[in-house]
Amino acid sequence: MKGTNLGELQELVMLAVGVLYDDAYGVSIKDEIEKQTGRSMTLSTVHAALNRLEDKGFLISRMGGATEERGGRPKRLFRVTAYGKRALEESRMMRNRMWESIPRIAWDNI
Amino acid sequence: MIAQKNQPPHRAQQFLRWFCDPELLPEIEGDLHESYLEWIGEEGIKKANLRYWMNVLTFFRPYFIAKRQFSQPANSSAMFKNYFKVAYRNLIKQKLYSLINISGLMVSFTFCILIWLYVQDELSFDRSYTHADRIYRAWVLEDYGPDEVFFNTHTPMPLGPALDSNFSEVKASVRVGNFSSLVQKGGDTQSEKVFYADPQFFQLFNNEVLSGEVSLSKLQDLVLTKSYAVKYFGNVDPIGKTLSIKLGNQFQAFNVSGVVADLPSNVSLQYNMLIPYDNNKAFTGERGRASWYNVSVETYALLDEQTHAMTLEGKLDAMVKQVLGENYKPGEYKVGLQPLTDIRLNTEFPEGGVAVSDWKYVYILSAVALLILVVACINFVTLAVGRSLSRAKEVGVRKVVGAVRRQLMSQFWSEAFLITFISILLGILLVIVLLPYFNQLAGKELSFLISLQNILFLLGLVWVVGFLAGVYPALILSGFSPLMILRGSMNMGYSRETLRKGMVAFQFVLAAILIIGTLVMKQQMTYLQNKNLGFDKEQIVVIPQNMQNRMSGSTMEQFMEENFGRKQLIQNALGRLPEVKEVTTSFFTFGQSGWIEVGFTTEEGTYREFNMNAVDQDFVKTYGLEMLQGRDFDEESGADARSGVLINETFARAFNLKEAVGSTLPPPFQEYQVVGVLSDFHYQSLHAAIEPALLVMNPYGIFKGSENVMFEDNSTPKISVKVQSENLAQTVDKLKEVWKEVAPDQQFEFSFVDEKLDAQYRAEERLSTILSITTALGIFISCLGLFGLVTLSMSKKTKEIGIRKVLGASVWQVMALSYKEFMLLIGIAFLVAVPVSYLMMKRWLADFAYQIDLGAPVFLLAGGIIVVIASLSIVYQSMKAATSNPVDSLRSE
Repeated sequence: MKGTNLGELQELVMLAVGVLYDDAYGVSIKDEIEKQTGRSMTLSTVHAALNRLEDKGFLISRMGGATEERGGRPKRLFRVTAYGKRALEESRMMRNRMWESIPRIAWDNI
Repeated sequence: MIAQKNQPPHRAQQFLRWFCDPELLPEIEGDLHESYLEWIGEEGIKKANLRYWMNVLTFFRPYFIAKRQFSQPANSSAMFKNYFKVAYRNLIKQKLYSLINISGLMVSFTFCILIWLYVQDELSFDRSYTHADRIYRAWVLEDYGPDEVFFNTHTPMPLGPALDSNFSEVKASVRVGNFSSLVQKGGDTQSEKVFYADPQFFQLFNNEVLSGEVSLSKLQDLVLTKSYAVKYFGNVDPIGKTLSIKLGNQFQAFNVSGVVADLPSNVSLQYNMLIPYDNNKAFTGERGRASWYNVSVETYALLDEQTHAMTLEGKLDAMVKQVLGENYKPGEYKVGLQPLTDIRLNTEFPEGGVAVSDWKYVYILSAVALLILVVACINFVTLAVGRSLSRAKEVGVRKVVGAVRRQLMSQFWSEAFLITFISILLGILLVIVLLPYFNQLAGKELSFLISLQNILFLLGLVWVVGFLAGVYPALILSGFSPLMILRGSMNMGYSRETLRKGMVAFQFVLAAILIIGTLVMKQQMTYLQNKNLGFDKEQIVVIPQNMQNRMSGSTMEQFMEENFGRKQLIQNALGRLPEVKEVTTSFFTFGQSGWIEVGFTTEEGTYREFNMNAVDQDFVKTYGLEMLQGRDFDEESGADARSGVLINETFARAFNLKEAVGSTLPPPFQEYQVVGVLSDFHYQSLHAAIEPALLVMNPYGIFKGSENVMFEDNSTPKISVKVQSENLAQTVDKLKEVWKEVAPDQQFEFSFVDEKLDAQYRAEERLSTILSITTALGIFISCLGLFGLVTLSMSKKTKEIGIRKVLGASVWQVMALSYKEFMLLIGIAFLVAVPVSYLMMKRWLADFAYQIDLGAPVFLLAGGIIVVIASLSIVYQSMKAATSNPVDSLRSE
């Protein structure tokens, strides 16, 4: 359990990588998160998260083509690994379990 | 094209590339670039640039920063070590060059540090008091038209209380005065300067209290400094002990109530014995104490925090109007305030009871120190330029091997800093050795402490000088193209040659200014010392007569009578000695700060002043004053003793006494009759012009008629003995023996008139000595530069000289060639220096009432000195080159 623990930001980044299948790189991930959550973040935060997730083996990357709009620099495209998928699933399951164990009465008086 | 235009900020990119891990860099740059284009679309280029920068900065965190750069620090420190190693080797290899540079810098550093200490001390004056910035000294200006302006920092006695009662802004005011008096403990009597002050004194001047209390609350309280407590009481606790001080005509007992630490040398108010103010009743009349026209004490005021001195000054006129009423016309009488911290160096204000130094000396010395430093730096640079040819090869080789420019710059600057650092260390050592001598010279008690200020100063000095000295090699030499150098097509450019010559010329301008300044000062000092002062100053011994309290309770008249009676006794005794030619007694002699100043109001109602000395009938004879008209005092004439005066020429002119002899003095002194007119003589220092003066045997009538009597120096009667002897020391011993016989209860003190006279010019003497030393240093450093330069220029010319000699030129012809070149430089430098130094010295001389003419001879002499010194170093070097065998220099081609 411990090894696959994900921070919220990391989870968001991994989900975005999944959403963007095959076109997940720094800027697009950032844009996606901003679009979906309304939260703005800096590129460096995204990059730091991506690199860390790759170190943990949750993500895998390959170099993509260079384009004019990137000043001739290549993209690094990310994909979720099987291990990463399991980490996401575990995180989701843990949440579901906890949701389900909340007694109805807890919601009644809100 | 569009993409080209929309490039992110260059520097931000550079910065990113510098720190970012190269593995991550491409994608980060790519992402940033992509976003950047987006931002431009959204917000325009300016905001986009800003956002780009912000984003780059957010990447500056450990995760992205390249590990390599910081994981191998060993390399950079090794390089650094290598720079110093190479610098050290160069130092050793080029011994002459290093010696010139280091000795020049060392000497100038030494000088700079000493001057720094001096200036620091001058500027720190009076700043040690807690409320220094809120304390002011009052001044009084009485203006009755031209020639009758009296500007004083001595103030009327009622001023202090008036300030206190009229202005709530004045938190405390204190009046301070001093008088020379006799102090007695047991049977011992000594002459001392005693200060008196209001009890608030210590509220303003918070001197460190060692024991007891310093309230000055009781009339008999006495505060001593530590060294005076020791002087009178040794190791015994002085608190409660008694000393007798002579007030007026009587000795009074004072009880030591407090002891303060010895005052730091950088405070103006230097007292050793302090008694409560009201004691001055004993010697100041009721009229004087209430008069607004009689100035005798200094008044200091402590203002509260909110009050600006200007605001208060504006209200002083109203106070003056109130106290003086109809007695004055508007503008005639003004009172103002001078900040305490301003006193030491402000010569615009008349000297009060405290010593004033001249800011000019601070400036002159700082400027000179700076000049010397500049000259040493210039030397460094000139020599570096001179050597650039040989260093150029080194640069070429290094570059070919792979050194980048930044490394070469570090290399050259390391060398400069190494030399600077060595020089300053040696300089500091020299300072420590020289400080006692310097203190003696400057009349100060400076010490070189490890304080933050001093350390910062030294570091600053090293940094600035090291930086400046290394600028040329680091910036220019490192930029040489290796191709040009190694191909051998490198030549000394015309501009570099000019630069070098220009710097040497500049050095000589400075040296010439220093030499001229020193010569003029020396000349002026000699002039002052040798000027005919109008009296004999040689071989006159002055013995102060510290009279005992035998005539206690007597009036001044009685005092004088007894005094002169006793004098007769001593004179007769002294006159027995064959070495003694003349003996006379007078209130004042020569070489003191001035005679009595007498102020009075004429019948027309204007206030005038003259100077006075009470003397006996032998004064004119003893001092060899010259009679112009009339006669000397007649010993037998009772009229002379009662009412005769001798006046000087200026007196006769000033008071319009055409047929002076036989006429009476102007009212209210008309009971006095002029018996003779003396030709003018200098009874004050030559800074001041001669003023009206008179000699009188019976001064009481004059005291009575005057409104204002002032004198700064000790007025106890003094016996002047004109001796005639080869062996002065022996004669003085004889005088002492006789003295012991006649006045066994009195200490024998003596001084020589000529020595006292010399003391009047001590400030100038000091400046002139310091300047002579500086000049020697300046010339020394300039010549080091010249010497080094000639050496280099000769070594470059060895081939030329060789060829010339082979073709038949004589040694002389060869030497003349280089000699001419350098002499032209020196000539130009001299022409620049002359007008500059002329103006400078004119201003300095303006301080003296009697001054030398600034003529051509001084300048010619200075020119001669420079030419001779420069010639010596040029000839020495060119001789070597010219006499060398051409075979040696040409063989290698």
